[in-house]
Formats: sequence, structure tokens, C-alpha cells
Amino acid sequence: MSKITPIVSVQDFNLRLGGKQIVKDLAFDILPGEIFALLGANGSGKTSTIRSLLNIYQPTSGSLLIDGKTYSPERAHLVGYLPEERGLYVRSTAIDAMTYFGELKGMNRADARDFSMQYLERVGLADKANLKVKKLSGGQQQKLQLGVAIINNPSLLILDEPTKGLDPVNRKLLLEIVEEHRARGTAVIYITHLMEEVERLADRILIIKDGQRRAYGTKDKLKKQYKMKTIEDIFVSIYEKEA
Amino acid sequence: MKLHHKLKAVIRHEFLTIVKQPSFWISLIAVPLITGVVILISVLTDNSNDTNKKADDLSIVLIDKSGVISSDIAKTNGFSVESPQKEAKLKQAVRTGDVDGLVVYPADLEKSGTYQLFADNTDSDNGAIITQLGRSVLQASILEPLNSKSLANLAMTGGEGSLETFVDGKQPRQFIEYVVPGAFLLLFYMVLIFSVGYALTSVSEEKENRSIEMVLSYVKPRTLIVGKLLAIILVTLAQILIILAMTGIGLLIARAMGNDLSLPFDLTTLTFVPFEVLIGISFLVVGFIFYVALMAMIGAIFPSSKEAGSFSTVFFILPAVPFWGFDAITTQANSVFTQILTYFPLTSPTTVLLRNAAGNLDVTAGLLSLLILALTTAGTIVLAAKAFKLGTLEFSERIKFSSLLKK
Repeated sequence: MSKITPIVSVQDFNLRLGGKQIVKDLAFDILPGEIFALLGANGSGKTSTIRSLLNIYQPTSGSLLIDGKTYSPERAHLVGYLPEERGLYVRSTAIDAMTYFGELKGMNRADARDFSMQYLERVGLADKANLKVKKLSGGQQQKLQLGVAIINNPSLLILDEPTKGLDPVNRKLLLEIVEEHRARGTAVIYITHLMEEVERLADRILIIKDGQRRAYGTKDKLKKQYKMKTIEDIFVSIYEKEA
Repeated sequence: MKLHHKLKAVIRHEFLTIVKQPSFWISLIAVPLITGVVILISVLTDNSNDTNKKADDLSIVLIDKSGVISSDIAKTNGFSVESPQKEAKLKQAVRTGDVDGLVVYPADLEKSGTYQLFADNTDSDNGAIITQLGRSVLQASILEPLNSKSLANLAMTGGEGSLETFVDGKQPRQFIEYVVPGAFLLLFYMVLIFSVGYALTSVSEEKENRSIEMVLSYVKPRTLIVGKLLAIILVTLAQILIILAMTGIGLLIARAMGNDLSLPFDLTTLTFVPFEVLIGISFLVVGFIFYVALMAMIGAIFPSSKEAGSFSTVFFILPAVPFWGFDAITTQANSVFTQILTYFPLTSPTTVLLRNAAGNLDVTAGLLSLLILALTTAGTIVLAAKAFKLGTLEFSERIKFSSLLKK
């Protein structure tokens, strides 16, 4: 049986910023077609890890590879990123904002526009396509943000709290879209504080605290290892243990 | 190939974002439009050419107690001449509007040098017309004994002198010699005022609306900066074309209304000195890139467009300093003040372009200043790219300048 090549491979990753150790000896792999929940309290090093993976931060040591290579913007077609600090060009129309990011990810303009229109129809925003982003509600902007991340069907989706601020109906829609991408073989790094989403979506989980790996594996493996019924219990026990 | 594709996408996005803003059109159209309206109003309300025509329509009377005034000249100028006995009656007639104007030359005119004018200004400025006519009649009457119209005219106008001056043994520049190098200065200042600010807005808004981290995940900072720069150049060219088109339309309208607004010089006499043109183009281009990179850097450093805008004000004031020191710069090329402004990158474009127009810039100073500006520009682009990268990480605090200088 041939071994599946990970889409993301992080080994011996250390990061120091401003004299402070942010991440220490972190290692994990992410396989194509899996939803990988990256969990941790605020300031635990999740965002720094993602930024290092995308080469926005330079790691102090270790290797962070996407599809076997260090990431650079030339490989933007591989990645869809919805950062924690997100926003769009508020003075552009919804369709123009999405099309622009499609182009930045290597699509030609016509294809990017077609993809954007299909996505906007899918999420019920077709009639808002020519409205400026600033005229959209928070939830509508959130859906547009996800569209910007998934445009060009990347191999790796990095979603940092993608359902934050969404109502239950739109949250359900968004989770369905994420699951569709997993079914298509897209690997998803899913960052959230909502444990019910982790229970529903995640194939494997990495919990970090103070930049160090504290739990890593499938949901079932972790539940057996910690002898607990829920991921939330495991998360709380890890953070309460040393509090 | 990909970079080229992305660069094109950035340029298109930035260009359309700017030109779709109402403020772009308001600022672009407002200035020439207001200028055009002011010129139009002044042309329409200019009565100076109508003086003679209106004088014929007025009932104006002249009383001469001095014996200096020639009745024929007075009549030729539209006056009816009356005897001094009617003075009181005629003054009353001016008050009631039955007579438009009255001029009374007293018996002691030669000694006192004064005379009286009365005008009914109810419907229009008859006073100005009568004052001018009263003076003309007096001058023409005094000069009548010369018995020569051309001499009389020469005496009245004072003739036209041709002045030739020398400074340090050299003739100063003629007006026509200022035009070409001066145009570069004008163009640079226009670009600075109208276009450079877009770089600041573009970057600081990208940061403020939190899209910068996402953008820089897909595009290199250098591609983004170069794309913004090229987009702003296109915006500037579009602005120049629009202003030229509006000027052309304005001239056509003025001509259609019978006003021949022509240039104060003949285009065929323009002089193109190679060194001056080279300096003009170089400082226009390098100065523009320097200021765009500088604004992009400031936009990336500050967390909000408001803070970035306030901080950038000083960088718009400095290029104006050479205009305040205009006299010193154009006449004292070797003064410390002029030398500092010539080589300091924030003031060098305007100073050098000003000296270039004034004709007191030597080759060494021009090229050395250009070298300093070019090196500073390259450094600023590197720092701006670094500020971009650091800017993705810091949304609420200003990036420390020292962190830009760290490796």
C-alpha cells in the first residue's frame, strides 16, 4: 500500500518573535482530503504557525512545507486563506473583490468572474454581486470572504474562525461548503473555538498551548488517550492542568 | 508569467478603484471648472471695451471756466458744452438722472490741478466712464497746440521703452526660456498634489480594512508596490489627458463666444536645452516614484488612514519650501539654504526643477542631486516593501521605524 503524501508537513518548527519563544518544536502533517482542527487558546501560537506556514513570518528553525516546498506567493494557486484579521476592499463590488483575488491566485479574469458568480449564486448573494462590499451585512461579507478563500479550488484551505458572526442558517451553509471541499480532496486547516464544529468536521486535531503540541491525532484516538467523551473536555483539561 | 499576470491584476484593480471614486472626479473637474467659470464670468462682465460705445449713449455735459479745454475736442468725445451759469441746474439734473454726467473745469485749473466730476451711477458705472473721458479731454486739449496727433498720442501714452538688463555681465533669461523647464516644475507639483496621495490612501485603506494579510499571501510585496505605482502613473496620465481635454473644450467654447484666448507666447519659439529637458524628465519621474514609495511606506506603517494622512502632511509641506525661498534659490545658487534644499531628497525635486527653470543649475549639482534622490528612492522602495510585510502583522499599533531597518 502506497503512503499518502502530506499536503502540509511541519517539522521541528520553532519561532521566536521580539525575543519571545512563540512556537517550540512543533511538528505535524496534514493529508489531502482531511479537515485538520488547529486548536488553542488566544495567544497559543495558532496564527503565528499559519503565518509561518505562509512564509509571512520567517521560522527561527525547522521546516514548514506545502506540497513539498516552502510556500511563496508564486504558489498561491495551492492555498486559500481566510485569516483571523480579515477584510475586503470595501469600495469594490462583491463580484470585483472576488474576481480580483481569483486573478491573484492565478486564474484568468473571465474564469475568476464565472467562478465568483457561481459562488455568489450558491450562497444567495447573486443579487448583491454589483453592490459595494461596504453595503453588505456582516454575514454577507463573511460569506464573500469564504468565497475569496475557496476561489480557484485550492489544495489547501486555511480557515481561521470561518463561522464567527454567522447566523445558524448561514453557518450550516458554510460548513456544507467546507465539507464539499473536503470530499473533493482539499485539505482544510480549521481554526475555531467552537467545539461542536470540531466534533462535526474534524478528522484530526492538534491542540497547542504556549506554542507547544499538547494533543495530536484523530478525535477517537484523543478521546481514548484522555479517557474523555468530548474534545471540549480534552481542551479544557489541557488548559486547566497547568493553569 | 504568473508575476506578469498578477502585476496586471494589481494595476487594473488599483486603477479602477481610484477612478471609480467620486472624489477622483470631483477633485479633477472642480479645479479646472472653477477656473473656467471665473474666467468666463470675468470675460462676460468685462466692460472695458464698451467704454467708447457707452459714452456715445450717455448725455454728458462739460463746463469750462479755465479756458484750457477745446470745445471741438470736448464735442468729439461726446460732451455737450454749456456755460458756467448753468452749473447748479446741471448738478441737480445729474442728481435726478436727467443728465448722466457733468465735468466742471475750474478757473484755477492750471494752478490747482483739480476739477469736479458728477455722475449718475443708478444703472451702471457712469462715473468710471466720465472720469476717463474728463481726463482724455483735458490731456488732448493741453496737447492740441502741438498740432500733431502722433506727438500728442506719444505724450499721452508715454511711449514704450525697451529695457535691456545685465546681471554679472550676462543677460537674464527671456520669458520664453522659462517655459519648457518651468513646465516640468508645474507638472511635478500637479502630480504631487493630485496623484501621490492615492498611494497613501491605497495602502492605508488596505491595512485598515484588514485585507493586506490576505493580499500578501498571494502577491509579493514588491509586486503589490510596483502595481500600485504603475496604476498611479496611469491615473496621472488619465488626469493630464482629462485636464487637456477640458482645457481644449474651454478654449473652443471661449472662441465660439467670440473670445480669442491665445497663449502669451509663440509655440514655435520655445527653446529645448538638452540638459534642462533631461533634468526635467529625470526629476519628474524619479521624484514621483520617490514620493509614491514614501506615501506607500507611511500608509503601511500607520494603523489607520487618518493617522497616516496626518503624518504625511509634513511631506507635502517640504516640497513647497523652495517656493517660499524663491528669491534666494533663483538668485543665490551658492547659498547654504539653496544647497541644502538642492540635495535634501524631500525638497530636491522642486528645488532642482525651480533652479532648472531659473537657469542657475550647473551640471554637477543637477546630477549629484539626481543620484542622491535615486538612491533614496531605491532605499524607500525597499523600506516600503518591508513595511508592507510588517504591516500585515500589526493592525493596531504603528510600526517602529527601527524595525524597518532591522534585517
